[in-house]
Amino acid sequence: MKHLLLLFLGLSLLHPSAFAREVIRIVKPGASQTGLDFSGFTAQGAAATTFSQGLRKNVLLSSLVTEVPPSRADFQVTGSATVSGDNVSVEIEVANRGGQNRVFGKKYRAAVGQEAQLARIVCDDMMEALTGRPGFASKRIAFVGQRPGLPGKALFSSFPDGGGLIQLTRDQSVVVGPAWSPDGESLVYTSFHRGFPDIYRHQLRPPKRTVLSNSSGMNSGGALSPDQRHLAMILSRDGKPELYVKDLSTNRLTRLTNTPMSAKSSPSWSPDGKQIVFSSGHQGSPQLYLISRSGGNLTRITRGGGENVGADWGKNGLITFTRRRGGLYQVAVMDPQIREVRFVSPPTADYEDPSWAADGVHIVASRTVRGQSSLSLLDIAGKADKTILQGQGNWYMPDWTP
Amino acid sequence: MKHFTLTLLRFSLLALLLGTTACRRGRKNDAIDYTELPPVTEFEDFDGTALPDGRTGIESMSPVMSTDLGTVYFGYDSSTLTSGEISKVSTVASRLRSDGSLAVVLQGHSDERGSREYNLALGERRALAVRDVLLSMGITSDRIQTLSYGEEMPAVQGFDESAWSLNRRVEFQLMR
Repeated sequence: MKHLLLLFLGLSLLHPSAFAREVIRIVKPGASQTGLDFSGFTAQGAAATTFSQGLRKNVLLSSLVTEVPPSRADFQVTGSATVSGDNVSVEIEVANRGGQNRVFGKKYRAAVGQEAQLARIVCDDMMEALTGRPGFASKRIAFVGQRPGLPGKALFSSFPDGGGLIQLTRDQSVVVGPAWSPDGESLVYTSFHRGFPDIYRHQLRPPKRTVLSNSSGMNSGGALSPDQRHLAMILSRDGKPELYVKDLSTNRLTRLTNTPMSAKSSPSWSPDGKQIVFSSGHQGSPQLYLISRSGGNLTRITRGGGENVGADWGKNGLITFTRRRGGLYQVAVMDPQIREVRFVSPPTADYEDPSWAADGVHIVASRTVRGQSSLSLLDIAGKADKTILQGQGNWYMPDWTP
Repeated sequence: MKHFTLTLLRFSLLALLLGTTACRRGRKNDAIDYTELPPVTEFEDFDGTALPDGRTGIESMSPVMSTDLGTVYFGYDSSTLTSGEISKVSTVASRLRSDGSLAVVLQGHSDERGSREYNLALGERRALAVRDVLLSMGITSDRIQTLSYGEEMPAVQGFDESAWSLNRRVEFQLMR
């Protein structure tokens, strides 16, 4: 819905910078959160009530909207969820207050038992109609988990509403850095289950795991290119940690960097696949660098901050990363063209390993206080900090399905 | 000054390596003659020396219990070995020289602060720094593997420097 998007983005058309376009006025206090009224949506039956609660919870995860009474609503959600036999049926409409302008209207039916997932799907359809951006409610987040009684660490995945938690690996070893393939069908990560840090590709359906890199020394930071044909990663095989790209069809390996001895980590591809951002300590504390996919034009893009690590280059063109500031790790966002850094996490805990949501507005990150890690939902305007998954273990290194 | 010391060291090491290679040819698996190196205070800024092609069968070897090997400790975000730490590497080099059937895995670790993935590379950098000292002492590349755990396997739990300083380390695991 274009006029609503303009409401969020305000001055966007006047401003050349993607960063400004995304940030300015997205959530200016009291100004641009869209007020939704849910009071006109009814539910009958247990599964329908679960659906209705799930829909509301998922919609309100987004900091673009807030729930308001009917008198102050920008938009009203109306319709019903009912149970008949083995099915949940949903009819839903979203229109501006007064009802002249219907922005969304759809019918759904799903088997009883699928109501939580149906709520995520309806939420995404509705949010896309409202904001013109893909929703994220049905997009899985993968992360590393450490639970009492679980030997080692394992990969897990859940939806952003905290539901659908599944354990993906049972290796009883260390696992680091899950990263979704661009098609969302598989995960690339570093596992120690054969004793050394090797990079694997883990197809989810049907489950199947293949080795992508097991050179001597360290294999870490595996990230598939947007066309899924190339793997960027950090290897130490030549005696120093350096950035490499492997052509997965020919297995040809190209070393992109040759810096003084230093740690490197977290390569992430630009949306067009022409550049890679990564962290390197070769000029002192870790900084973010850009390099072309063939290895030229190494450019440092961060200046301040003790450490600049864990970059994720979003489809919106912006890079989110972790910067150490005032003794805390904070999530920051930058436009690589302009290189202005904005912090988007509250300075109350360590926030690390940010990953963009599909809408290009929200960010998932780990939040750590005295060794206890949970998953937190932030946004580009720095106004959100909502808990996604907390307790019954430590959850960290999240990566959101593109 | 550091670089100058390092250059001197390099020359002496080169001579040493040439000597030991000659030695080895004649007396396979025997202990290698070894001349004590001049003390160095720091050892860093080396160029990379390629790791062996593949893991050279170390995955099928078994750990050897050894309680007399120390642990090498490092400063924050550093892979520099002080002279005290280098002496620990010398002890390991001696063991490797006296028993040709041994290999070593250098297990690199970091403290818990910062990015887990960056810390993985930091632990590897520390293991590579220790490896470079072993290479300089005449141990051949095919007997050394590096294995970084980053911050994943702390020796000590805790949230202050007393714990962190004990976690920034390289441990030696002899294999046979």
